[in-house]
Amino acid sequence: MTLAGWIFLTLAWGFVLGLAGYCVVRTFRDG
Amino acid sequence: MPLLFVFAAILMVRVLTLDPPPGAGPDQNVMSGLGFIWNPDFAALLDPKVWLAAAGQIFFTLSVGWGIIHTYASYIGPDDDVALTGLSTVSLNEVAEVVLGGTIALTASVVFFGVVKAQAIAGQGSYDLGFHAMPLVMEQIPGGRLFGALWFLLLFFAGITSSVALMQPTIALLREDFGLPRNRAVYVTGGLLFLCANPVLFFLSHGFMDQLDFWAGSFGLLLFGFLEIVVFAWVFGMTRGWAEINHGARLRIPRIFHFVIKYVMPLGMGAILLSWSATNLLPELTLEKVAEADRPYVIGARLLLVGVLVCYWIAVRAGSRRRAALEGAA
Repeated sequence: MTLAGWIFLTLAWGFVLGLAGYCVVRTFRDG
Repeated sequence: MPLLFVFAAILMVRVLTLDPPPGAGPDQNVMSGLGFIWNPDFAALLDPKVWLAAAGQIFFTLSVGWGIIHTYASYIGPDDDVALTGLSTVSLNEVAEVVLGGTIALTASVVFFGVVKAQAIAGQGSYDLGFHAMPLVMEQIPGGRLFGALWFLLLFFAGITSSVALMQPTIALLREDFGLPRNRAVYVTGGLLFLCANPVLFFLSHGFMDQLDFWAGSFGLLLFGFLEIVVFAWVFGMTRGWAEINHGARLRIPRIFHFVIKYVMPLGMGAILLSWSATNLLPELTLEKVAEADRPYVIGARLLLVGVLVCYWIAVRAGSRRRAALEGAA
């Protein structure tokens, strides 16, 4: 696993988990 | 479906803590598995096949371009928040795919088989990697056989619910345009699906499934997705389309996506289709890379696809004429 691999993994996981978390929070907050 | 997420999370943790098997090669470990997925190979960006496969993969998992998303979307009310619903669907799907699915099957395959053999297994068929690797992962966890049975049972339900959604446009066509009662429409659609599924099972080893998977599950998805975005952005029109997207939305969509939907998406998808076709269409059509013994099956798969398309075209036209005649008579 190279440094570039870690960067891609972090960006991809951060993006999809962050977006999914945001959507779940918005869905529950806005009903 | 939430249960599938929980199981997947448990399995991901187990895969990330796997020890190399006895007698393992130097590349048979979790770090090599993650590297296999995430180490970038920028030279691959120049290959149109990679772009087509990536676009096909994302369209396949998001159910875009083959009727499923239309079925789900038809249950959304006119005042529902399309933006938030769409974004939630996409993001949760990507968590399942990028974080859970990719990590489990690919990393486990590299740990058990090594990079070279994992690539070879993946090359044998679209779904081989998961079905080879997952039973081995299950053996490594307590109660693995029970977990394994539950995992594949849940996958079966996930698949069959998608199949129901996939059949729904055909059922709707038979009901609304041909006036069939619901049960008969379901029997006819299910019967046709059963007939078409048999050659997939019997000729699996001859690449029948892979042909359908490539033309319908990769190329076709991008082609129909391209047609859909052109119809939406240019025929229906972005002014009306943008109003539809924002109607009832509490989520404010950045204006840049107006430009992205109208120009970037059609141009990008068109460029992928054209560049792939320029370099690969002729060799694909002339069966250059297909073994002599498999050619009849590959041709059969393509004929089946063309036959299904022609039948749909005839059915949609006949149904539209029948409905127009009924409306005219009324």
